[in-house]
Amino acid sequence: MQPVNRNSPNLGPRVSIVDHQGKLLSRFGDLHAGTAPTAFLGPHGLSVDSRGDLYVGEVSWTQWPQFYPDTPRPAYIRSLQKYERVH
Amino acid sequence: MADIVGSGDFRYRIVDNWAKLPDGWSFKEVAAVGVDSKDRVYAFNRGEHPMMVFDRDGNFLSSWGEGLWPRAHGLHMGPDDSLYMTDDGAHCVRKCTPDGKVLLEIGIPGKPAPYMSGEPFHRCTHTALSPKGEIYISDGYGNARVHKYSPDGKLLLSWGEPGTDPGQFNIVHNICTDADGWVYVADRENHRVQVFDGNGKYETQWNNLHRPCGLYMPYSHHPVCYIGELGPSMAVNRNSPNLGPRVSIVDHEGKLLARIGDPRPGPGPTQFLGPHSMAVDSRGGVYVGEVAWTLWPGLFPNEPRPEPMRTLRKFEKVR
Repeated sequence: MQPVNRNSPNLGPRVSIVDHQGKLLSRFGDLHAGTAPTAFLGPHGLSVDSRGDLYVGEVSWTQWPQFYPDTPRPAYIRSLQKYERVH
Repeated sequence: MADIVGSGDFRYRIVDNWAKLPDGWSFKEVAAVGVDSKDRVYAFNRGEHPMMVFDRDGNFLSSWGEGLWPRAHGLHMGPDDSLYMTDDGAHCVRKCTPDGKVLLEIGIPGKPAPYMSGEPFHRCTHTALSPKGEIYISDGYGNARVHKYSPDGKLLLSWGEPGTDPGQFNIVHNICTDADGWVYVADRENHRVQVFDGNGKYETQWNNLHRPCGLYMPYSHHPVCYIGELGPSMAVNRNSPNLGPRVSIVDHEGKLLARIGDPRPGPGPTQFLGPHSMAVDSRGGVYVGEVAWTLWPGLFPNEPRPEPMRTLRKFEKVR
């Protein structure tokens, strides 16, 4: 999170799923940070339920000024999202 | 007794105040340093005299390039003592004679390609030469590419895109080569050096580095590599020790051989602020250019810059 690469695409924020040896299995998140349903701001805590659904907690409030130093935080910023696994 | 730094086969005596500048002159900061076949040292800097040349003992010989270089960034010395100079402010690379005559210009000065377009150049950073004299250009801050040019400046191929996977880059900051044709790329904000063949095919990577910034390899088979690593600059880890800035010397497979620099940044003789470029003379002496002026506020936000700032260092090899 530095001015020098703040605008570069494809560096996250994102969620990556790897095997136990670190091999990439799946990745999601847009090329840039954002508030769209497919984008992230700061995926900070993850958990999975019995059906394989994924819950992602995001430290969006803290991260916002770093991504958007010139835009005030919106009144609501998403910080917990559910991803239902497709079976 | 003078301070000795380093370890093993790489022990150095610090030479204080090595560069003797003309009265009233300043580097502002030395972005890149090179040494020619006669051990003349070229300091490519961001002051009013962009190139200053010294002898091995730091005596001033000449200056050139005034008005031509908005932001000095990278320097590579060719085998015939030609200089390949990269300016990230002008978005161009020039090949110059040792007295500053421009032989070749690649890129359009002042005209960047669109950000992250992959087209040359957007704040290009450094150059290296293949065994056949082809020119690799790292590019850079506003692209995530390496371009390969013929010796006379025709684009042959390019590789890389933004990201963290093999072959992807997050600030392509320096580049160097060896006599077997391997290409070593400082992928600075991915905290790694990536190794490619001459066609851009990914071979391996070196990790366990912190923001590798400057790369220097003597041209030979299986050379060692001198790596200038930048220190922490984010508020969250700014005060953590043992993250650089420092100079690490590794073998051609990335194994650490020696390291210079205190656990924390600073202006002391054994400390670094921003080791951005290195070069080695015929006696093994190491010269380090530091972007101390630019990095000081990030390292010490509440302290004014000291005057003068030390931005070119010499480490004399202990034999």
